[in-house]
Amino acid sequence: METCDQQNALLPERWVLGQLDPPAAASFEDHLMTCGSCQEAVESARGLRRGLALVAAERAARPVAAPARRWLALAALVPLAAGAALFFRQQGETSALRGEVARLEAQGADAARLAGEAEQARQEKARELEKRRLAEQRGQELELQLEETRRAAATAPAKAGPLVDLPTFLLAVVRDRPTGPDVAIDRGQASRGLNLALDLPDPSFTRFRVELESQGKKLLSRRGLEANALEVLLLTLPPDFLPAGESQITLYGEGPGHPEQQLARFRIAVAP
Amino acid sequence: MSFSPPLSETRLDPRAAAELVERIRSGDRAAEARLVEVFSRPILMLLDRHTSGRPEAQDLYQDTFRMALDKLRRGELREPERLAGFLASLARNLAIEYYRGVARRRTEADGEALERVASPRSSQLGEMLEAEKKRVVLQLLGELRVERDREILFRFYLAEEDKEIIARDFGIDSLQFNRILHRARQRYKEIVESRAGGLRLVRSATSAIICFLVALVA
Repeated sequence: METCDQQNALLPERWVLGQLDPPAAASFEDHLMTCGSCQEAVESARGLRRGLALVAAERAARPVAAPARRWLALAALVPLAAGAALFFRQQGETSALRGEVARLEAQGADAARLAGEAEQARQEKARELEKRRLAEQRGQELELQLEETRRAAATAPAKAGPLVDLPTFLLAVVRDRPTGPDVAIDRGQASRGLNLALDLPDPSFTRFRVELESQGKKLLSRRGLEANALEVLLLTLPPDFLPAGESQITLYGEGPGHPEQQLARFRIAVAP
Repeated sequence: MSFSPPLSETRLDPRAAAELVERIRSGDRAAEARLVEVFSRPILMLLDRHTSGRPEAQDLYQDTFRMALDKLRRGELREPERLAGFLASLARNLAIEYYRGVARRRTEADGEALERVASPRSSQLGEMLEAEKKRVVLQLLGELRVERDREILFRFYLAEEDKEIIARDFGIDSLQFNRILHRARQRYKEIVESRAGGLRLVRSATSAIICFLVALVA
């Protein structure tokens, strides 16, 4: 099937991602009705997006287990290496004692007794070596465990606490509000994060887009947000997310098929 | 929503559309079937997008064709050559009306309505289709030779970052960016088709073996 001109501007992808403004989306939808090529493009873009999401979710879960497995494999190698070292050391000991026995036998009458003593000494020494080997192995294992724990502690994200009792600031549209910010926040109040509850002025919209800006810089942009059971849009922000000074939140109503519309703009003042 | 109807010839020029409308108005049942055949796939796509893949799309799909056929039988479409636009607009409006209704019920704390808009539980078929999508994407990612291209896909499709920002970060222009996305999408389609082709081959071979065994027994 021929590629349609609409695909040069990535319209199928942008439509799937909800990035087209309502008139452009409606126009593309009219076109989509009779364009088999764009229908295939939309289907592929949707499948690709979903597949990527599944792969990303799987990868996100994987790194936790991998280092542990590597360290376990290393730990399993330690006894093997220690065993091999002991074997070679014992081989050396044995050959030395055999040489001694041979020399005593050659010397005369007490050779057999001395050989017995030598054998006893060799066994004693072997036992001692075995004890030392076990101690070394245990020490190495402990060292490995310690190192693994240190690494895990260094790479693990900080433990998140439950997000309860965060201060919540209500942002509501008020007619004839005197000039000044809609809400003033003291940073000390929000040391663990904060919630912004945006009152929704128009219930006919089912989804919303929010943009948060501070000093001309866009800090946050989220689309497809939905109201919670209390009919407010709740944004939970981490500590220090809002810089000191004035920030602005713009609320838009969006879709389905509804022209996007700016519903409210709130000003937030954050004291340092 | 997880199924899509088989691909049929969906190009319908305005003259053919007007003829189809006229045939439906005059009571031709075959023309009605043809209307559903041609527009089934795009209407499902449109509703799927407007309902974010919720199962309500299936009901809205039925409603769209029911209402469209009612209007067409009564000859209420004034510009028959704009049949496609009429259907798209009807589907959009039904989706909007449905969600407005849900929003009104929600402000009245109608628990039943809220339950209806809740996400569906995944079915076994759905899980299989999801797993297949993952396999296709893994194959596609494995075939991409440049790490940059993989990252572009993740950032565009998942992080939904602006195309301009991604292109600037990788030092590529808009045309290159479009090409990367276009190639990835085409390859995805090819892999899907080749896997479906393989499956068809296995089915055909299985059918042939069964026929052979039946013939032997007979």
